[in-house]
Amino acid sequence: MLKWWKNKKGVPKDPRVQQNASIHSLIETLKQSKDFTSDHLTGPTDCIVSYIKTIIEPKFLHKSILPVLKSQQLKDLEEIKDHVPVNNIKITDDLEEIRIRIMQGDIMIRMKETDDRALLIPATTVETRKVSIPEVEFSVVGPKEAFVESLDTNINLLRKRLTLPQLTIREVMIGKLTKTRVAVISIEGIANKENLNTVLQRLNAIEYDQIIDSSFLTQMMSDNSNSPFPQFLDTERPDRVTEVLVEGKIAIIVDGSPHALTCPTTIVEFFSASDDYFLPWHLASAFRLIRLFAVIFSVLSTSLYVAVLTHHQEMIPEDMMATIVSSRADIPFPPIMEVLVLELTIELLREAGARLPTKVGQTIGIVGGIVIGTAAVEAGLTSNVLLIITALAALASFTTPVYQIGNTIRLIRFPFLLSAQFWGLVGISMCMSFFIGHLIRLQSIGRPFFAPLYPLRFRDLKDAFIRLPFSLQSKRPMQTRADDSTRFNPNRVQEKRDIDD
Amino acid sequence: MLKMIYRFVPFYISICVLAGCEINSVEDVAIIQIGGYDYIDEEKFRGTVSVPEFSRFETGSTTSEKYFTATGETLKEIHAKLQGKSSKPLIHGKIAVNLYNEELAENDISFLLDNLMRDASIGREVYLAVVDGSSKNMIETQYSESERTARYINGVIKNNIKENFPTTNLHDFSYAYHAEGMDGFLPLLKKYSDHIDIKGIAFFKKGKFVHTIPFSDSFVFKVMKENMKHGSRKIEYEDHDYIIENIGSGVKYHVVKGIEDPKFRIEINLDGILNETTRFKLPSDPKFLAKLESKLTKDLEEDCLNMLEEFKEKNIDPIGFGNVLKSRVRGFDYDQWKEIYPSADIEVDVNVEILETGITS
Repeated sequence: MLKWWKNKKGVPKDPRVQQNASIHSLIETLKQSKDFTSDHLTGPTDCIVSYIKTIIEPKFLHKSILPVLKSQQLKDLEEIKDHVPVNNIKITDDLEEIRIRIMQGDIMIRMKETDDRALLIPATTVETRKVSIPEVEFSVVGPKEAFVESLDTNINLLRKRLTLPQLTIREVMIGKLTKTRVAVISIEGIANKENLNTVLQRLNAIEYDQIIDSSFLTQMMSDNSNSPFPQFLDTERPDRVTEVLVEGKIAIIVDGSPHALTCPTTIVEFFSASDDYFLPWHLASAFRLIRLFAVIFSVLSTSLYVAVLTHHQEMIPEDMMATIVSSRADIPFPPIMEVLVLELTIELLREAGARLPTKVGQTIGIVGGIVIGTAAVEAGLTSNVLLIITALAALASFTTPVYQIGNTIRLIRFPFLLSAQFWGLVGISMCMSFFIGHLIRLQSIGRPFFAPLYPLRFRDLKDAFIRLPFSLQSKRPMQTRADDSTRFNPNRVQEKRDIDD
Repeated sequence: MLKMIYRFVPFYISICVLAGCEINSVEDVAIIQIGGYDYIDEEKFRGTVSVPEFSRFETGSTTSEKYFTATGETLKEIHAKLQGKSSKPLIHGKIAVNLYNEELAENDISFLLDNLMRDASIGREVYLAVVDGSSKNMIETQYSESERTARYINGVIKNNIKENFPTTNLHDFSYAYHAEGMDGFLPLLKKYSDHIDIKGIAFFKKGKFVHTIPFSDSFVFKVMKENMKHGSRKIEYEDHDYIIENIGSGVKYHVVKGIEDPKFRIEINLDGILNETTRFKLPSDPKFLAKLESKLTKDLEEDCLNMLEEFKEKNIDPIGFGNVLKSRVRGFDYDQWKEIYPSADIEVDVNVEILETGITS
C-alpha cells in the first residue's frame, strides 16, 4: 500500500501537502494548527510529548502515560517503551510512518527537540454514531442493525456474525488527501481468487484525491462507468453482507461510509430484499414477483399510455374509450407533454422531499400529492387517468429494496417516453431492445451482470425471480465462481431423524 | 467523441424519417365504430359510418353519435368523401361491426372484405352482418339510452353467439372464404322500430349471399358446425312441449368413404337438462326420459338431414365437408369435389343424454 503512495511521489502540488523533509519541518507544519500540542516535560523524565489534541484520548494520556513519565526518571525511549503499559508502541525514525501515525492520533515522545527518533503510542479516539436501525433498507422482521461511519465498528458487526478465521480483511488506503481506509472482505476458501484480485487491482488503480463515500468507489471501479445501472450492490445491512460473503462474494467497506459494496452482483439481486429470506419461500417468491412487476410497470406504464393514445387508438378497450377520451377532452397538450409535465412534477416532489428535513418532507409529500394533483386535473392540465397511472408508476418505483436501482428506474423512463412518442409501440420495443442489449453486455467485476438470464444459469434461477426453499439451495451461485461451491450436503437434509427408536 | 456521434447517426436519421408520420391524440380523431354499405346500382354503392362523440368528463356519459354518408364507386372514393365531411381524421382501427345490405350481399361483397382484411389496424374480431333493409337506416337509429348503435349491434350478435347462433366474425368468414371446400355465413339482421332482431343465418357462396335459414333453425346448424355449451331446443312429445337446455355438445366428422364416392358421418353427442315443460309434472314412467331422448334424437337427425339437403341443393358447403375431406384424404381435387358435392352421402348420428330434470316434487 505504501509502495503505491511512494510511486506517486511529488504528485501533490500544494506545498503543505508535500512530504516534509525532516521531523522538524513536520512539526513546524503541524504547529500552524491550534490543536497541535508539543509539551516539553521537565519532570523526572526530560522529554517532549507531541500530539494532536483533538484526535487523542486525553484520559489515556493522563492516566497511562504522564504518570509513568513523571514518577520516575527514564533515560531513553526504550526505557519509556518498557514502562508505558500499552502495546503497539513503536520506536522509529521513519519519517513517513511518524507522519501517518501522528495524524491518526498517536502520541509522539522524543527525548530532545533535535532527535529524529520518536516513540509512538497509539491513543486514537474517533467520534462515531451509535449503531442504529437501518433507514434505507428497512425490514419488518430480521436483524435491525445498520452499518455506521466507522470502519472498525462495521467490521465488528460482520465479525460477530461470521466467527471464522477464514474471514479475511485486507486494507487499502485510497485518496491522495483523505487517505481513506478501505477494507476488502472475503472468506478465504470460498471467495474466488480472481474476483478478489480484480477488486484489489481496481482499488489500487484508483487515482483521486478524496474518497468520501463508498458510492465514489462504485463509480470509479465500475466495469462500465457510463451505464445507468449500478454494478456494485450497496447495502447498509450487515446481515445482507454476511449473506453474500457466505455465497462467495466480496464486500468492500469504506471508512466513513455507512454503506458496504458487494460484488459481483446481478440485476436480479437488486430486486431481492433481505425480507425475502425471512419469510417462507412461497410468500417471498410471490412478493419478489410483485416487486418485479412493479418495476416493469413503473418503467413502461406512462410510455404505453403515450404510445397507445397517440399511435394505436384501436388498442384502447371499448369500455375505457369514453373515460379516456372525455378525461382528455379538456387538455390542451398532446399526451407526451401531459406525461412529461406530470413526471417532472413527481420528480420535483421527490427531490424536494429528499432534501427537506423529515417533518417538512412529509408535508411536502401531502401538498404535492393531493393539492397539486387535484388542482392540475381541475385546471385541465392533466387528465385524471394519467394522474393515476403516474402516481402508481412512482409508487411502484419505490418498491425496489436497493435505493440505487430506484434512481436508475427513475431515469430510464424518459428514453422510453420519448421513443413512445416518436414511434409508438415500435419505439418502446426498440428502446427495450437497446436496454436489454446494454444489460447483456454489462459486467460486474468481469462477471456477467444479466445472469442468470444471460448466460442462462438454471442453478442461479433458484434464487432469482423466485426463491426456492433453503433445502434446495445446496449450491452457491455460479455467478460468484466460488472456490467451494457446496453449501451443505443435500442428502443429509433429506435424512429422517427420528429420536425415538 | 466523433465515434460516438457516428454511432448515433442512424438514430438521428430514423427520428427525422420515421417521426414524420402524422400524430394525432385520441381525442383529436374520429373513431369509426360501425360501418354499413348499401346497394344503389350496378356500379355505385353507399357507405355510412357512425362516429361516437364523447362528452366532457363532468357532464356524465350521455351517448351521442355522428353519422356520415357518402356514395361512390370504390371504397377509397367513399372514404375520401366521408373524410371531407368530418372535422377530425377518421380512424378505422376500432371498427366493431360492418353491415352489408341484402342486395349488396347478393352482388358480392368480396372487394369490401378484402379492404377489411388488408388493414393491419383492424382486428379480426370484427362482426360482419347482412341487413334486411337499409344499413344506413339501421345505423342511424338510436336503440338504447345508454348504448351506442355499434355497441348495441355488437352486443346482440355476441350475446347470441354464446347461445344458439354459430360463431361468426371477420376471421371465421374470411377463413371460409379462402378455404377450399368451405363457404361462409353471416348473421342476417332486421331492424324493427326500436330494436334489432337476428332474422336468421345468411349463407354465402364465396362473396355472394345465396341462401338463408330462419333463426329458429340456427340451433340445428350450430350443433352440426361446432362444439357448443349453451343453447336450447324444444321437443314436442305427446301434446306437450319440453325445453331441453344444452349443457354441452360435441361434433365429430367422420369420412367413411373417400373422394371417389364420398360418404360422411356427423357424430353429435349432446348432453342436456330438461328445463321447462308445458305440463305440470313429468309422468312417472321410468322410461319417459329415454323416450324423450329418442324423440329429440330423431327430430334432430331429421332436421340436420333436411338442412344438409338444402345446402346441397344450393351447392353451398357451410359445414366445410370439402375442407374436412381435404385434410383427411390424399389426392383431394377441388374441381372434382365441386362436381361431386351435391351428390355426397351424409349421415347424421345424434346421441342425446338428458342428465337431469330439475327439482320435481
